[in-house]
Amino acid sequence: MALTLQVDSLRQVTVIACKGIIVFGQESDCLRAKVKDLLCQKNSSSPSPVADAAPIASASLVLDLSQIQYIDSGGLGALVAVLTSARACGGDLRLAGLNERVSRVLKTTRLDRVFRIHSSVELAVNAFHARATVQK
Amino acid sequence: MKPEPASQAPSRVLIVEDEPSMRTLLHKILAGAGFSVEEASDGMEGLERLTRHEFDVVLLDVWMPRMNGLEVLSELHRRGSNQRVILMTADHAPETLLRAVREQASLYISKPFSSEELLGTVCKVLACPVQPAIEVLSAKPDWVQLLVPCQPEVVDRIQSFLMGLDADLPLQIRESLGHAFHELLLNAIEWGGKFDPNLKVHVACLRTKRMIMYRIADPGAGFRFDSLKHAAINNPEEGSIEHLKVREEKGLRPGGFGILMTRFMVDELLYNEKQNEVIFIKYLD
Repeated sequence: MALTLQVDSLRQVTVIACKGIIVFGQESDCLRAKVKDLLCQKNSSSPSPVADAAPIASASLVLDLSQIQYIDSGGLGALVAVLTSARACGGDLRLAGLNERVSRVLKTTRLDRVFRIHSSVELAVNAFHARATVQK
Repeated sequence: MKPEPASQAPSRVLIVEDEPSMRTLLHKILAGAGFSVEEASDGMEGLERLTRHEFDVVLLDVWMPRMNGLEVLSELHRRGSNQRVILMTADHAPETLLRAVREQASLYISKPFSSEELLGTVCKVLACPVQPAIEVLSAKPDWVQLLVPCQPEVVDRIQSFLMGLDADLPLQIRESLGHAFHELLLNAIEWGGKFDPNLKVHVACLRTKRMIMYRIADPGAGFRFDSLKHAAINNPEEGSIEHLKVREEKGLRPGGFGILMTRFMVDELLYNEKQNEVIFIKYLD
């Protein structure tokens, strides 16, 4: 399989670093399965708020796509499926670190209007916190 | 990238390469990733080993003394072997690549390559236990015509060889062609061929000084654009993912962006009346 996923947590937000390609087949299936697992785990555990910080929805995910070389049609479908799953759990998904190639694909398919896209993981995480503060 | 750990014995890889330093490096990378590795220093020795032992995959250099990689492939093909072979070469000559397709090489990896590319390619080949046979109808560098079975594994395989033929083109053009080809061949195999390995898709690639043209003809009944509610091409301006609701209702996998993506990657995209044949063109000037 040409996709590896590494899961980390940054200030209450789950960050999935993706490396390789997200295409129809094993890669798309693997991404969807990983997010499903994470959302199930999140649902069964309550968030652990940081002192003085507004709580973040437990299904807050960032996909770090900075090491993704290409996404095909099936891969785009998987990204939308992941977004739908996160929102169904009361959370959200943000994309970070897109290279020019991936940005072009999202723009071409008008998915840049569907996803919240940030230039870095840090900014994506900040955006979750800023939103939580506004809602507090 | 590590290969998926196997529950049984590690997969056996034979490296056939005349350059000792390259052989050692490949051995180290593959053994480090958990493969059982053997080496041969030329085609003749490689063939001898293949006669006596079984290997899951062979990494085969092209230009070697005594017997070159293409001759090894021919001999394996002549014997009716289903041996999975990855061809490694810096030689992008169309004749080399087309002969490799004709002799049923599994995949092609262009030297130099990274350890990740190597392991990714080996794992990709290992993931496909039965290699789909590709029939070569024309192997002229400016007129390639293939008959391929409707199996998803065939897409990467054909793409790796055909894109190798365009190695002289700028990267952006090669990528656009590769991605367009990937989407449309997958559509043909999935929708036209229903992933039935007994059905075939015709692929033709014609190259002139000023353009590259691909034609993909699938065995299906065709479709009508206005009935493609499950494809992003028919989404309203304000609804980028409307089609995904239709796909979900129909129990289809997420996707449906292929034609929309392709339209922006190529200069011309034409379907025949039944719409089971598509042509796309990229102009080179």
